[in-house]
Amino acid sequence: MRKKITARQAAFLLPLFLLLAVFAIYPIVTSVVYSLFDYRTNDQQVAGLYTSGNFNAPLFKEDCGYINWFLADDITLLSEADQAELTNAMAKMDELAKRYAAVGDIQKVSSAEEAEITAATAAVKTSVQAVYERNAGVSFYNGWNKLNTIFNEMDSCLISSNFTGLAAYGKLLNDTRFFHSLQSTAIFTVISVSLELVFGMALALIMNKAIKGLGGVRTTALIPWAIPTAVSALMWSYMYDGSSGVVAKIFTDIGLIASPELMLLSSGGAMAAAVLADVWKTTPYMALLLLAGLQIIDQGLYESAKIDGAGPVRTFFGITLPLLKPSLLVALLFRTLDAFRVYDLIAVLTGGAQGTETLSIYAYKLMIAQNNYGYGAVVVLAMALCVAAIAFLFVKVLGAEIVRDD
Amino acid sequence: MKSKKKSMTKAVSIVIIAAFLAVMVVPMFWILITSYKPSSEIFAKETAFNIIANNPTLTN
Repeated sequence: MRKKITARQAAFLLPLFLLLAVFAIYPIVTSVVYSLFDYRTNDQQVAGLYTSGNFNAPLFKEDCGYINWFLADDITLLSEADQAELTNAMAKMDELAKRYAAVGDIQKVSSAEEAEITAATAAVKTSVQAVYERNAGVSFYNGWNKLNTIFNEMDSCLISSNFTGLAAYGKLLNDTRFFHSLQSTAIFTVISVSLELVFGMALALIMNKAIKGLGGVRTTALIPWAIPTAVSALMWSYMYDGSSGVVAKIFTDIGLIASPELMLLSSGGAMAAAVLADVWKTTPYMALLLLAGLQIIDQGLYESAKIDGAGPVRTFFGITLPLLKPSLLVALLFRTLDAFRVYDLIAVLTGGAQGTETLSIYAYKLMIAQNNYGYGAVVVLAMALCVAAIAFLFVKVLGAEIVRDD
Repeated sequence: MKSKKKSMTKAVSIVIIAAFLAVMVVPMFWILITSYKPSSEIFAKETAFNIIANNPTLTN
């Protein structure tokens, strides 16, 4: 029977909800907001979240300063009439710059203001260009080309809205690189978790027996798990090296690969290398999780099964596996989600090359290498959806009886 | 007969555990012996796979 939560119990839960809100809900909401914009920090026009027209006043003021500076040099080489025209243009630039002198940041502007700024800048540009074209034979210090570059940059001071809505999600559905990354991630996850489960289970069953020195075995088994993943990836990358790697040499000698270079330079070899490194690191962790589950199984059940004449295989499937289900759910769920989110192992070992680019690496390249936070957020949210689907599947398939209310 | 089967099972378990420990420990052992080799020996094909360094060094 469900109990109602009292106000006092809710007060104890409040810090948990606050932590969840700050560290779980806020990042997700921010990612969703970013995904609705074409947000790229390497392009001034879309380096913020703009829902309406904006004006980069500091940049505009700076550009006005440069124009007047270049004109001040060239004006001395002109006739009085042309000097007067350029002086007039410089005064207009000064006036525009003074209008926004107090504004320290990008500000919203109405379409009327946008039109006014565009018209004023265009008028100054036309008159300056006309003066330079009339005096084409003069060797100016700066010249029209330099000024034209600054005038063109002034166009980018006016920033239009970069709200794209759900367009990025449509782009994701047609993104072949995303689906290749998803495929690589799925292959890595399924193979490494399956191997870890089989080896971990075998190891746990053996370690569950009372053999002398098992304490030392358990301690030694945890050492790979204790090494930071990036360090173990570096260690394995050295052992996989095409010219001096001992593992690559052994695999070549036993005929698994044609030559040592293929270990990390072929797509199958690179994926196998990553899986091997991950299985080496994490099998002990899986084994110890399962061992903990095995040790709470009542030994009397095994004795009864023995008396009834059940063999080891029947005992395993009839007693061990059903009673190990909660530990199996926890171990498999943790490991599957960890493997799905893998980043450091692949980044250090292959950098995502040779078909090993996982979703995490693709998202990293989008957001950090390309500064494309808008589309990167979409990929991250797609990953979060996959993770949620995996967790839901595990609980539904393996954990339905475990989480059922009594 | 039963005790013979039990000893066999125990022996097989010990062999599997030993193989597991070897797989876990050998990579780290290899890195340890490499740490005593100079760079010229680590990357040279003739000496890269030597267990004992020709000119061991502590400078690493």
